[in-house]
Amino acid sequence: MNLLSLALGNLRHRPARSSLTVSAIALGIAAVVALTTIAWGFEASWQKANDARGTDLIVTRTGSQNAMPSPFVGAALLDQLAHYPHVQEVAGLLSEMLSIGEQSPPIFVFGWAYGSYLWDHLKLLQGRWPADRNEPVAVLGVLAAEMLHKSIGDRIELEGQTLQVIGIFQSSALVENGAVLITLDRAQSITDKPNKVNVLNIKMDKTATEADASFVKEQVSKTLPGFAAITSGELVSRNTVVKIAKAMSHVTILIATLVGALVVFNTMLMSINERTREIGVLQALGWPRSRIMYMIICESAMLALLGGLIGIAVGILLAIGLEHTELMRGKIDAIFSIPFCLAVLGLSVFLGVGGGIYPARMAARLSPAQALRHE
Amino acid sequence: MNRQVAPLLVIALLAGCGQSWATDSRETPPGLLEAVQQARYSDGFEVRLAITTVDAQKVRSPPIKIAVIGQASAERQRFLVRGISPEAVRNHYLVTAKNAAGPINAFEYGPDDEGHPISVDPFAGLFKTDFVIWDLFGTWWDWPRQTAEGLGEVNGRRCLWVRSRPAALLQIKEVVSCVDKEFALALSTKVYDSQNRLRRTIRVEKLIRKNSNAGLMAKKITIADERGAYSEIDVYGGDEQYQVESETFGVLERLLGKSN
Repeated sequence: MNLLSLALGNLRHRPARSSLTVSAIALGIAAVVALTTIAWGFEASWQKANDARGTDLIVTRTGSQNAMPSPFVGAALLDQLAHYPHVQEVAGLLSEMLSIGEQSPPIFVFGWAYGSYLWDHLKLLQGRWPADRNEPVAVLGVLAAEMLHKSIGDRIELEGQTLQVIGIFQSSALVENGAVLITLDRAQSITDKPNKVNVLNIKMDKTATEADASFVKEQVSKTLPGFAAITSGELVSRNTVVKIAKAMSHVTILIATLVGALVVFNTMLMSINERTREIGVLQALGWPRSRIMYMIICESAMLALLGGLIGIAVGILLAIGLEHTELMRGKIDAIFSIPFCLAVLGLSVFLGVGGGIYPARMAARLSPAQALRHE
Repeated sequence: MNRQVAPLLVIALLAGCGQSWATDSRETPPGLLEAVQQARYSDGFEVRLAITTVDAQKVRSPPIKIAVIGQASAERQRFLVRGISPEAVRNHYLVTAKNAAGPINAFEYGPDDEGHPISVDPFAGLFKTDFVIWDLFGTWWDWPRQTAEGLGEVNGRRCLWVRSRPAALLQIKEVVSCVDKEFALALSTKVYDSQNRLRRTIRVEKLIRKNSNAGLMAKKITIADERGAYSEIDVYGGDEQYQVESETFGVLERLLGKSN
């Protein structure tokens, strides 16, 4: 019998304790996986939306940290920005979370400058795009159409205004698939924010370099007090919701690590206490201390590995379940990657080894005579 | 300079125009009442609210959505309330104003009768909810008797209870507010009538940081009446720097011009 099968056998002899330990580790790991993938997914889906549009820089208020940057009058800034070198186009955007009808959960409503490049990346699946900047119509993301049970020709109500659904589109960004898209002018009218935008999107021309983008950033900071030009990644990372989601994920990792290590520590300590005579026999048979230590650490690592594998599976299912709840659908896109799962598994094994070291050392330090006398 | 402002409900809870404050032995901390006054001043703001009424049997009504545009200074406050949904309130308007020492004037008109507004009671609930126009003005901060009543806690936040009483007997006899000293924000406001009955309790249930990052504002408020029914008010949208146009309060100004 090799050492690994001996360790496995030891765990099997105490099924209740082993399964409780595995469950505790699995729960902690599941929480880590679910929260982290959702936090990253939330950040990535927003960045993906900005990247898909072809936006190179975003001009926003410097103080804005909320989910939606605070609105400002965009016209004067737009003219100034359009004259910077290598700026191909500047487009205003106004977005809000609004309920469609009386009882439905809020959904993203994007108002995009009519005829701007922002619309170019979308694939129209059915219907048509708005014919002019003031047409009282909406196009729905494919997921939004499904969630709202709306198709071409149906009507939706936004803040008391009735709009006809004239198109259904698909985007490479989940947040856009789950959104209602209207022209900027219509959005300003619906939300009573005449001439205002949340952000101005800048598209640089093809010859623009990073130095050109930096120049625009610098010029905005020098000439437009209270505003900043930032990349989509910077905008998303400044978002309070993203910050909170990430902070929660970090705290969960910390708590799960501590709890996991303590659970393994406790389990292995109790196990060694119960198996003192057994360890004494092994020592009397000539087992070196290092081998006894190795056996105990193997046991704790096995517990943690199994807990980690189950936790990753449960965490993925939990995140997928959350993605499909009515409130969150179309807003988050949990990200699962093999490197992340391997890292979590590594964390789990680390917990097992870390929690098992002290009990293993205790076991190895026992003298055979004392151990054999133990009742 | 356009000042950062607190949305309507914060203003409602914090409003005050008084220039002099008579105090007794339990004086309010220096600067607190001035801070409360300053917090509500605004060159223009807009908030959109969803009001859900829950009756004494806990039956919830469908939400009523309204938009409120306001301006407030030491000299004058004025508000425009627009019904958004459902259909019954859509494009029904209420315009109301109050000068520093004057009474509250309030008028209501529907989508088709802009020329024929009717005068309304500022103590009545708006669109059959517990949302009362009189509360918008926070008139009690203007009353001469303001006393500190000790520290309290509302939803886990420490605050100072302040009792406000008018000089003469009014329809409302007393208002007791618990003010968060750090943010000059009333977290709870109890309104008592001339018979000393508690008419309603306004509580800030949820706070969010202002876009300007200059403080906190109410995100969710409950207004409970004496029968156990209450209204939940959710601030779901708005603009802290709303541009008030000359026509925004055009109807109000014409009405006030006529009445003068």
